[in-house]
Amino acid sequence: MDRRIQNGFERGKSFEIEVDGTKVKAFEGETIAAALLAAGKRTTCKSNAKKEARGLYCGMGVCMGCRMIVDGKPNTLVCQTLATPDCKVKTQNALENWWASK
Amino acid sequence: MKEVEIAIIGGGPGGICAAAEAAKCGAHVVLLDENPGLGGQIYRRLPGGFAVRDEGRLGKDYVEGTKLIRELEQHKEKVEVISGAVVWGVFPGNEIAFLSGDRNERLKANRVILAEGAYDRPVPFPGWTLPGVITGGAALRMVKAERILPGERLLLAGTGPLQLALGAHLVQAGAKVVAILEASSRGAFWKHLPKLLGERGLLKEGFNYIRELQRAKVPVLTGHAVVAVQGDGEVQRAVYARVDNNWKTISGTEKTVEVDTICSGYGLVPSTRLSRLFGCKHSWDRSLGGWVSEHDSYAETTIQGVFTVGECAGVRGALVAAEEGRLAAIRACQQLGRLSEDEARRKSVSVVKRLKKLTGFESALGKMFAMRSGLFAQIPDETVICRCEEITAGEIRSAIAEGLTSIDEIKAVTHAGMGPCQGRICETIVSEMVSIQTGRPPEEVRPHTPRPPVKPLVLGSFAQE
Ligand SMILES: Cc1cc2nc3c(=O)[nH]c(=O)nc-3n(C[C@H](O)[C@H](O)[C@H](O)COP(=O)(O)OP(=O)(O)OC[C@H]3O[C@@H](n4cnc5c(N)ncnc54)[C@H](O)[C@@H]3O)c2cc1C
Ligand code: FES
Repeated sequence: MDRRIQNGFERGKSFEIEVDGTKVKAFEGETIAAALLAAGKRTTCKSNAKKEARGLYCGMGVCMGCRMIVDGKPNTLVCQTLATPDCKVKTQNALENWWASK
Repeated sequence: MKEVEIAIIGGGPGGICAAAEAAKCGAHVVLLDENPGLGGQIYRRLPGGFAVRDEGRLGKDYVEGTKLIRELEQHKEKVEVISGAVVWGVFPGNEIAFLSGDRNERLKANRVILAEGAYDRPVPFPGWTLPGVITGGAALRMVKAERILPGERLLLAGTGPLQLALGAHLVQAGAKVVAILEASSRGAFWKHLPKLLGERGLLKEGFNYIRELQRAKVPVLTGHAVVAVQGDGEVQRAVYARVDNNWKTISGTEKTVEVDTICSGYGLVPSTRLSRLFGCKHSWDRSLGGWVSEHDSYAETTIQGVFTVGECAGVRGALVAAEEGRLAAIRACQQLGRLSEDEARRKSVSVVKRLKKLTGFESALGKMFAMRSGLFAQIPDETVICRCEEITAGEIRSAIAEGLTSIDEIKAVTHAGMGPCQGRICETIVSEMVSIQTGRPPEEVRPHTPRPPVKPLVLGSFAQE
């Protein structure tokens, strides 16, 4: 099933991003979170202590559930970050250095 | 440091209307918002790269948002919009600190209008941290703005009319919605909803949603709630059940459905970090969503020159946000000498009239769909409450049993709320739990004391450059 809705608008340029080594399609202006959902990939990180899978929750930059490593930068909230051509996105294994990364 | 007459934080209907009105009165305004475009939650724009062909097909909210943004654009010379700006702190003298790209900036404003909006109320149940459990608001954003289905087989669980809107959007876009669980009882829901929607001028919209759901044969199960979500590493099925009047599960009525996504939509919590940083006095009102800053009839808080408008001042919908924004702007402009008292009064008459009518109905809606404690009382001890630090309900209950009753004390001992979301997710849950366990009303549970930065400083790349 194509999760991208078509209705009354046209998407812009499409390109690929790399998620844990595999190519995922994205469109100009989409967040990384949207591109991941469209591809059916839902785990963004592992929780700190219990190492349980986590994903998108609030969708607005509040919960920190969608943190991933984007172009080497850990703790990037993918619901608030636009996909860019060839950006490299990785599942994050814990809350790395949260306070230090400020 | 840059100085402006009025700084407005938040670019939803509240902030947009405040900016437009202030500009009309002649004031110079800066409007700050963290997103790439204006619109806020309800009127969020399509992503930048998308080209709109037929706006009518994008829905009523989209068209309404465009109207407000056009109104604002007519006052370009008076309004500076800074998108991609995350406000992380406010300091004495109305100094506002924000991150714009990698640059940390500050500005000083004579008057400040806070229009931060609200966020989905977190409600824990076993499995709520699994990927595939998302908030109703996140789902709305995905279907309405990013135009992506967040799942293929979805279960909506929560309360209030936004669930109907979400359900209708999802089925229209081709998703399978297995059911909408509405925790309120059947009587309350079906009896009052049409009337209330009608009074808001939203009757037609409400009925369209209901018709859409009926056409797609989506059952709306009143008096039901989700009990648990299960799956191996992500959502695969959900258990739901009937609930009593206090929203506690009636055991023996559980059913299991296969779904890939749960949308949890239990209403909204006002964002009050900035008004709390300013030192505004707050009070608790369940029908408004919890703690809100106290304000006079012009939306001015207990701190002179600081206004709160829209959902951060109480959850009452987008129409109230817009009118309240206008009212605050009129008052601020009068204080700045841009309007005489007479002019201000004249300008506010019609706004106040519309606002009065709207707030009456909104507060009735708020009461009808206000949270009940049963959902929180039945959280199993092993369920995680603080998603960042993975503190369980049992750990929080032990702390309360030891006599800790304020959010800050519980945080210090258990670490719940110490993670990077700064307690925004667990704070409301913990306060419900304290209230249940101690028998004190929620207004007696002291909330968290925020400190800057109130937003993480590592957000991504929404800045304009
Ligand atoms: C995720 C979500 C989706 C929603 N979708 C709908 C819907 O489809 N239909 C509906 O009727 N209602 C919806 N609502 C309800 C909605 O909140 C309101 O009715 C309406 O948007 C409120 O307007 P507002 O101006 O008060 O705030 P908002 O529209 O929430 O606008 C506030 C703006 O301020 C920004 N902001 C907040 N804090 C900061 C900061 N520190 N720095 C910079 N910017 C900041 C936010 O990003 C946002 O853009 C939704 C709510 C949420 C949380
Ligand atoms: S999903 Fe909550 S911060 Fe991105």
